[in-house]
This record gives sequence, C-alpha cells and structure tokens, in this order.
Amino acid sequence: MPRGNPAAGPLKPNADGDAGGRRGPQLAALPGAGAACEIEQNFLGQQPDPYTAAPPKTITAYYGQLAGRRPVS
Amino acid sequence: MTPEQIAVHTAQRCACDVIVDAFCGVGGNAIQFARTCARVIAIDIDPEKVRMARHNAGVYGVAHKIDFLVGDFLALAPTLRADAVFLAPPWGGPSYGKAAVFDLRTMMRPDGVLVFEAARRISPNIAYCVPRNTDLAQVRPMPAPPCRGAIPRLDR
Repeated sequence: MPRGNPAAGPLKPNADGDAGGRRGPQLAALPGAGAACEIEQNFLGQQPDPYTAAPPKTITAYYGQLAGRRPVS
Repeated sequence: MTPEQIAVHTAQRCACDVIVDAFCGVGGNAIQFARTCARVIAIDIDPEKVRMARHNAGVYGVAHKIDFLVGDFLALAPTLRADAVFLAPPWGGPSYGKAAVFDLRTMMRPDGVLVFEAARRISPNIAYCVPRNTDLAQVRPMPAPPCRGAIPRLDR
C-alpha cells in the first residue's frame, strides 16, 4: 500500500535512520520547534452572538506544525 | 462524541502519515483521520468502545487503515511513534459544563496536562480538543518537555 498522504507532502528520510528513515530531524536540533500554538473555537457554522457571547461548540488547540495549518481535503 | 463536521475539519487539518487518536471512543475522529492520513493508531482503555469503533470503521470502509489498541494511553505513549497526536480525553461526564472555568489539571481524569506531556513525547504536533469552558490561558502555555520524538515534515 502506498504510504503517506500526497496532499500532505512527502516525509524526508531522517539523518539518523530512525523509524525506517521516515522521520525528520530530531526536535533538539530545531530551535523553537513545537512552540507554536493556535486555538480554534468552532461555532459549527454559527457566528458568536455579540450580545450573549454564546460559547463556542468546541475548542481545539493545535500545537507544533499543526498550528496555523490549513485543512487538506 | 465529536460532531461529524468537526471531526472532518480536524482530520483535514491533521492530514499526515501516521496519527495517534489517543482516546478514540467509538471512532468518530479515527474514521475521519483514516480518510486524510495513511495510518491511524486508535487507542481506548474500554474494550467495548474499541469494538464499536472497529465496527463503525468497517461501516465507513476505513477499518483497514486503523490499528486499534485497547489500553491506557499514558502507559502506551512511550512505545508510540507518530507524526501527530489527537487528544480528546474524557472530560468527566456532562457535569464539566457546570463549572465556570474548566481546569485541565484538576477536573479530569487522567490529568489533562499529563496527557499533553505524554503526547509531546510522541510528537510536537498535537491537536487537543478541550471543553469549551476551558481557561484558554491554561491551554496556551502548555509546558514543552524535551521531546525524544522527531519532527515530521508536515509543512507544504
């Protein structure tokens, strides 16, 4: 079976050969890696009411490279 | 259970090679991840939920893309490698909504911060579904312990 999600882009081999060469460089080698954070409040298609400040239906926090990432359909 | 349109959206944002759904329940999120990721590792401590998740994945025709594990995520985490981790741990039942502010550390079992730290050791790329009354200031500064995992190339 083909591996990987074509829409997500290829994964490059790891320099130290970890996990069959599928992975990227070690975190420690990347300054600030994983620090990014995005909090997404989903109102399920409804705009938040400015008067009642109705709460969102769900909150999902995205970290690392998922922060700021756009959906891939 | 996550509304389907939310699960679809989250899966589209988390598209990658291997993703861990750490608390899969009956599989609502894992099924959508199977449509955007090459492989899904779906974990739940309740064997009955895993049985139902496997059944549901079969209904959606994606069971062959999901590895179901019955177990405690905190115990399994050190053995896992993945490109991203999705966290939707139990919030302690419907009563979570009664609190003015939900505290991830004290108001859920397992401890929501410990769960996050366990996930960080698998991958720095985490999607964490939290109660809507969570103190957002608590979510933002999650601690970042040394990660022995690797950074997948998710960027396009």
